[in-house]
Amino acid sequence: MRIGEATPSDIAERLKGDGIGLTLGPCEFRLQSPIAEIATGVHRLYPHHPLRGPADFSTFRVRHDPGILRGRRTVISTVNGQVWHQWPKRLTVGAIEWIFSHCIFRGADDALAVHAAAAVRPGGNGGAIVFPGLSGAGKSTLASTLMMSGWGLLSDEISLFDLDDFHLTGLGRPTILKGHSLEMMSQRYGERAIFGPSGRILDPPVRVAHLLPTEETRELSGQRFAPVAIVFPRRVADAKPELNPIERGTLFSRLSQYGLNFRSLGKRGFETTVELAKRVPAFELVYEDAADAEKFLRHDPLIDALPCVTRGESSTAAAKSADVGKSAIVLEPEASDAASRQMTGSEALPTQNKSCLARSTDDVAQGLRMLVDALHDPDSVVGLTLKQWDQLVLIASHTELLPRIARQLSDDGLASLPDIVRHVLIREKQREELVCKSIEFELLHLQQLLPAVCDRIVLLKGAAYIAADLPWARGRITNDLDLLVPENSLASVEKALADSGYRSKEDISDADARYYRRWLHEVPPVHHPYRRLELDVHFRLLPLADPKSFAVDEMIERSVPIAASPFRMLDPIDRTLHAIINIAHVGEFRRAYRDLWDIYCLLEGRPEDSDGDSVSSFDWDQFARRTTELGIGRAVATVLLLVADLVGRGRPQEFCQLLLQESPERLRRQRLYRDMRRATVPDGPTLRSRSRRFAIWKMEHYPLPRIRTWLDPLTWTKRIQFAKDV
Amino acid sequence: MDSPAESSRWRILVNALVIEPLSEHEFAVYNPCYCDSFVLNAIDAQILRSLDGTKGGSADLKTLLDEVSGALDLPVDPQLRQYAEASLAQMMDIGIVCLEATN
Repeated sequence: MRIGEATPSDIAERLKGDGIGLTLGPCEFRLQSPIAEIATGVHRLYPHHPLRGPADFSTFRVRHDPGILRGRRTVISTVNGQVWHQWPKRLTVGAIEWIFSHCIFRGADDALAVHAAAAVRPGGNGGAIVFPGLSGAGKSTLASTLMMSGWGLLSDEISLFDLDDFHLTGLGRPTILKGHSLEMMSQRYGERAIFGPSGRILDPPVRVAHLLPTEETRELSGQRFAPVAIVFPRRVADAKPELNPIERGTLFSRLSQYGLNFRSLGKRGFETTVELAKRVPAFELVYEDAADAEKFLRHDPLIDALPCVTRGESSTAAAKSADVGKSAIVLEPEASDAASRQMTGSEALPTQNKSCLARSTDDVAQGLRMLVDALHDPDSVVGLTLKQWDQLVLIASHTELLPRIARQLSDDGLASLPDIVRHVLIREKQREELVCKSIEFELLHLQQLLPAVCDRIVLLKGAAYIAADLPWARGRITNDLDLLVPENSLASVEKALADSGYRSKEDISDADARYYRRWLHEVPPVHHPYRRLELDVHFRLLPLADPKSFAVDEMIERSVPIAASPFRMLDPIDRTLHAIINIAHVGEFRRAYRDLWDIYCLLEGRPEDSDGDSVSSFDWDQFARRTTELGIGRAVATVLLLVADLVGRGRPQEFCQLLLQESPERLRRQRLYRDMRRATVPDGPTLRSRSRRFAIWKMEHYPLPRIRTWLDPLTWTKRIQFAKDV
Repeated sequence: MDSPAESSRWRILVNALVIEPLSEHEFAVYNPCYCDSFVLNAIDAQILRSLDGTKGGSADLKTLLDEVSGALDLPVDPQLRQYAEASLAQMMDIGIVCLEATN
């Protein structure tokens, strides 16, 4: 049965329950949503796809849920448990395709994903012409025109160049059109152009809708084609269509610019792009009207003469026939669909919404158990079934611990995993390696500037772990670089950064800047204009508004040097205290599991830890003394108990008693523990139930700031913060 | 009078840069420390190669100009000097070289 043969209400029921499975190019999706417009959109946009339940393992679990932002209705789109975007309700239908595009490029670990359309010419040699361009370049209009004129459209938005042989994969997806292009396609192709539901964007204020793929295009889904040319579309008023050759350097620059995962692929991405630039002929296509451009490309003798290009050779149509079938367009549907192979019994099952909530709760609990097992014993994941991997990837991705699982898994363990899972983990490793390199490169530059103006620069959290290469922290993702400097060196550090071009974000107002300095623990974040990594310069560890805020001079004084680096890191006890207060007082509880695991590792150490942070070396007496001096015993004890209960398999709960003279059982009954736990543990089908979001909001406001903070008008706008939906 | 750039030494910051010729006058460069890349012309690429080939990975502008002049058969004139300064400044912006002050 196909999606188009079911009723919209049947689709809606399935989406509300376990969801439906969709295969798009190399990615397997599980789509879930309680929103009626999403069900209508899927029914209209994917009528030819088989109606089936989700596969045992989905590369991406996509959800669209209703939300509210500043009193307006929104759609919250999540991928593998992480909120990707919150859309105004009028963009509900657009959200379906935009999130799929995002996932397809994110899922490409062995292909260069270029912002480009690609199409196969009818009657040609079976090769694909690639049309790169940023939004607004006319790519989608040209792609739609080609498709409606009989070309096989592989993609209108993202072209995937295989790193091994340059081949492109057909995605068979709808094409998004807006404004004038939408009207033009309607008028020009009449009833042959079938559109999905429409929405409105505001900039510019026009209608958007999806054009459904033609039969020729659908048949190419999953098929692979060698490129014959790369053509950059450029609309020029009153211009007759013509092709102007482009130099290799320009082609290389543009491909790397439009290559969405170019940096993630590292040197392989570079080498592939160099080869593409050297071997694939490139042109600029000047035209005014897309229909004229189509006719021109269809009959142009220059295009006729171009061979298919694969890595290592230029092949003729005959040589490539094995790749692309006997003719360019008429091709057999992909028989070896990975998703079909791993299809489950859920295809045949009726939707059972009543048990959906209970099932999702069980799934989350099981996912969390597997997560903790994987953290303690990385190779324990070998042997998990696809269904178990599905649960684990969802939870680990939501808590930002998936890259750590991927990184800590042995090479043999990784090699033994099912292909579809291995690719997910390889992609996470690529992402984590890029983050590490970005941090290390930023540190390379900072060490040219800062030691001259401040002799004690302390790296905090993720940046410190990366710089010191702590084995337990490998795979930990960090989005910014945190420095701690003595308050009396702050001005000179800021000046050195400003002199080297570091700037604040444009949206930081003067009032914001004053707020940072008066009430927070860091100055406004800055970034280098080229590298754009956020740099947070701290002068304290807790905001000045926090009643427990303290001076950090002693911590900086006893910080320890990082080997082969001019930077320092907090000593093991202060490092642990910082990790604890960072989650308790300023924490991001959505990923609290990650931070709790950090704390567990800091306390317990690991046998291979070169830093000497072993169980025997952690000085609990000193830890208790410093905690008491800082007056943060309650928060520290509560977090330690959470560590023991959620990730530490019971360790180190005995120290809660040492700190507070209270039994763990008594501590567990207290409101602070219950709120922290509720804010930490993923809950419900969306992993962020209403009660969890409320708990997260409460923890964002813990502890209540000093009373004098409330009297400062600078803080009034910061105070009005409603419970976040995301 | 020498400009600050002339009285200082330029130093390469990134080891193992990959320079791949795309054509006779275009070169793709890969920075493995940041996984980014850029395209240089023949003069830029020669400046980078010369800097990379010097002892300790650093050189003053005059040495660099002599090397580029010798390799590409160009006269050392104010135009080349101006071009090299601008080129090195751009390489500094993208983080592959830095300027070392000399006493």
